[in-house]
Amino acid sequence: MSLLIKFINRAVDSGLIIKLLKKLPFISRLLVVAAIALIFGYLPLDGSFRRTYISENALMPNQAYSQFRETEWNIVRGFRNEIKDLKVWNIDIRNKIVSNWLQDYSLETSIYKTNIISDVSGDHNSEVLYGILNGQRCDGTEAMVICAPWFNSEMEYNVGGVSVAIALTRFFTNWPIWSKNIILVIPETPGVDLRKWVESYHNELKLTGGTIESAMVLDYPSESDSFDYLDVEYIGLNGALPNLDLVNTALHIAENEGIKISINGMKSFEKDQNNFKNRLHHISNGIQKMAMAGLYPLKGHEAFSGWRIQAITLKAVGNSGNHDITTFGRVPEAVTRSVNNLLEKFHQSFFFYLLLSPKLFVSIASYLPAAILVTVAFAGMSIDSLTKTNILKNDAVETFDFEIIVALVFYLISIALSLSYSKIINLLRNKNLNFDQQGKFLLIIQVFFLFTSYMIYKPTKKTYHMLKSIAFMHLSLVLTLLLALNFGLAFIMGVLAFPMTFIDFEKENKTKQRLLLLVSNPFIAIFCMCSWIEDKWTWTIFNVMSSSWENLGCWTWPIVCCSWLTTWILLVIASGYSPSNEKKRM
Amino acid sequence: MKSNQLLKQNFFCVFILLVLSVFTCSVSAETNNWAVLVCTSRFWFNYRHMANTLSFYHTVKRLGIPDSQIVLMLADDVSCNSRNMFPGSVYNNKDHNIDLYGVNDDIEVDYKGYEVTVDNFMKILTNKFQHQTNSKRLLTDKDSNIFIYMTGHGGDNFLKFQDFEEIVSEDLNMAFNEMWLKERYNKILFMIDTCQANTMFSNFDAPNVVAIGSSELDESSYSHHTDMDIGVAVIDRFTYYVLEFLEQNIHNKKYDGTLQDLYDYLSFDKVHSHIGYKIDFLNKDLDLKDIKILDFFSQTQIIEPIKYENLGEASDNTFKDLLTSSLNHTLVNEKIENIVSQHAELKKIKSFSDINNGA
Repeated sequence: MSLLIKFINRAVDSGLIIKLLKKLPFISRLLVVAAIALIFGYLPLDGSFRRTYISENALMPNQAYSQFRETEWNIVRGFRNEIKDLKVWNIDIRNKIVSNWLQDYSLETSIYKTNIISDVSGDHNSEVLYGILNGQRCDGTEAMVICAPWFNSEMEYNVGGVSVAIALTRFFTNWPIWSKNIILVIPETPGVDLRKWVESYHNELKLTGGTIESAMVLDYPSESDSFDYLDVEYIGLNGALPNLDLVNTALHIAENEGIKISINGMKSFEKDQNNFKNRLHHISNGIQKMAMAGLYPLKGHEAFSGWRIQAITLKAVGNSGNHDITTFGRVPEAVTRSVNNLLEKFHQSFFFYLLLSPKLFVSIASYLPAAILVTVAFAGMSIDSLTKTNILKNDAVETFDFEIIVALVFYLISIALSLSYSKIINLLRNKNLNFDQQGKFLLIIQVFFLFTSYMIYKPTKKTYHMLKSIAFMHLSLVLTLLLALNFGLAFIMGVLAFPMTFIDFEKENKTKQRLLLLVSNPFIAIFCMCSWIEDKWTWTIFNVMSSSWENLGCWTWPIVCCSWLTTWILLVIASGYSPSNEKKRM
Repeated sequence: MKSNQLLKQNFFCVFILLVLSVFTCSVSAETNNWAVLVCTSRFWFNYRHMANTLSFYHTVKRLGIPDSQIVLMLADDVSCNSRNMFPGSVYNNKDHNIDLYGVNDDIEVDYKGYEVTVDNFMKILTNKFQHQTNSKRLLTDKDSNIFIYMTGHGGDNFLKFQDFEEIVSEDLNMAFNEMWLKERYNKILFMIDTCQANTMFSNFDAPNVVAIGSSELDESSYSHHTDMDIGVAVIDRFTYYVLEFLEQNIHNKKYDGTLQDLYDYLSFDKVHSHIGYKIDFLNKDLDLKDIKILDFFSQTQIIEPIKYENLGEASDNTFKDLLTSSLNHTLVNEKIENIVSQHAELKKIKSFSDINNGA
């Protein structure tokens, strides 16, 4: 300890600290460059990632024969013919018929009715059919979910998925080996109604089957006997990922069945994992999905996030490959059998990771430093502004400093303002404006605010620096809280918001500074990013964000409003400052 | 009528022989052999450890040690696990030829589940039970040969019990030394099938202990094969080949193969790890080739016929002497007690003809 103090004293004596403080903006920018280089330059490099492996001994994937093959083939086809015909009926009729089938196979069934109030999809009633297969010799405290929505995320009729799920459950009733209950869930869509079902399963449902350990959503929309490849989606809401063991188990089993595998819709089987570019592609796609989870139509597994349920979506893509529909069924069969072997909850493998290919991963220890660097960069900028207020100098100590009080009051105002912003979209729910117009209106407000605020209020130099300091510190703290929970969101927010650290209203060229502020406005930045990713104007993105917060509990909207927006508002208030004004005041 | 008489006569002969045999079990080197078979791991995915131990239980019984002299410790009951596709059965081979748990319904598990602890194991070895116990005890004497088999998950110098505690080689060594001082054994065959098994006995200094282990330091012991119906590995390589050797070679009690033969059989090709041994005999320089396998297994009962007349002279004291000197098993004791009580009636029998006449 004394050594450390000695070292610090020496650093202070030699003036190193002062020199470092002067270089802080440069250091901050360097840190952000380093963070981006770490994620996109270093992680995909050979030697910085590892091969995936099954960490939990009990799982034992592929140690048992998968039996869902020829004998079940006609049964699947029979169900598929029936379900094809059910498409014309309403959800309640469909569910009643399927419910009868399930009861014939000794499942306890129930129908959960829900009323969905949603901006984006409109208010409507929906219902979820679910049946519980009680394991013959199990204690009934744990359960595994197999879910097949009637319509998948692209609103295609999920004929293959539902038939495989029902046939598989029927097949499972013949087995005496279940140590956990099996729950078959058939919602109308894999989105809000499934999420509501999961919510009420943990709160109010009468018919339950124990703690849900794992969930698999089956998505096989084609009527064809065969499919091209299997896509595994796993990134959940709010940065929640399923345990890596479950993803590995599914991929391992699928590969053993000879199926071409892909993750996150990347067609990974076409991409050689020995290629740097492909790994980079996977990693950036993973981070983007982590940040944007809940802003696209849900695939299904997202609905289970937040209850310590490990969930994945298995999607059969195409209709012409070599793999037939029972091969698709053997994957959930073997995964169910593996999970059935578990004695404890999933805990052995990683809960935070990025996949660079189906078989390569980096764990949180490798990528987390990037987000830490970004938050440190903001903290650095905050300290830089703080030094410019001169309050750190010993000779300038005052007990009551009006200029600083003003800055703190503005901080409180901007927090209140940004909290009310999360409600602003509700106010915009005007029948005269459609979603596109609401989005455009919100963006216009930002620009308007930016270019008018300086006319109302002009801060002094000290207040200006204090405002900047508080703004950056606020964002830095929020990002610190967020970075371990939702790395993708924290990292992308940090990088997109970083241009705001370049603003310097001590310079006379105000337009450039305002443009920087414009670029780093949360709504404008998110809108631009989403439009770029989707390759079209995504005006509705804010409605989607707000609605997914209300209906799915996806954090993105409140976090953006309460951190990034607060910071931005503070900086806009600060933007009224100009050195010429200061001279006049003197 | 004649056949009926013959039957009665035969019955009597058998009866007398039985009485005689019980009376006259004499002490020989192999009469009091015991086996302690321990599976230390729980959980479904450790099915093979249960199967290993049960396989040895069967083999040891086949080779002549009765249930009463086997202490079987199973940390888990896989046969009743809900994941078991064949409820109530345990198999050690994917051919499902032998149901280790269901054969004749005569499995006696002495310590099960959470009773399998380091503490209990040490108590059994040293016979130091704190209180009066109904649990199975290892009632050996200075002429007993003990076969101790352990399997589970181990590492350098330790063997894990139940994911909860572990036994280290010093514990075992201490127990063996104590047993030697208490004259609880003549010799011990200690066999262990875990990862890094050889480290468990490399520091043994207890006399008259032969130890054989499945793998060296930093080596894993592997499973032999997986039963794809049950969905788990069902037996370990080392155990599989030891059993194979015993099954193939020992057909009767005249077998005179030595531990060296067994050792040579367990090559690296088969076991996929380097097996090791340690042998330490007091005042003797013995090697594996000097020790017969059947010393440990076969329970030979040498019957010395005593003349019928001698029975008349037998007093209660004679039986008590017999009890304390050579036979110390409760079951046998009970039988002898019964005979003592019946002794008065036996005396009344005058001749064969009396019995044949229905007296």
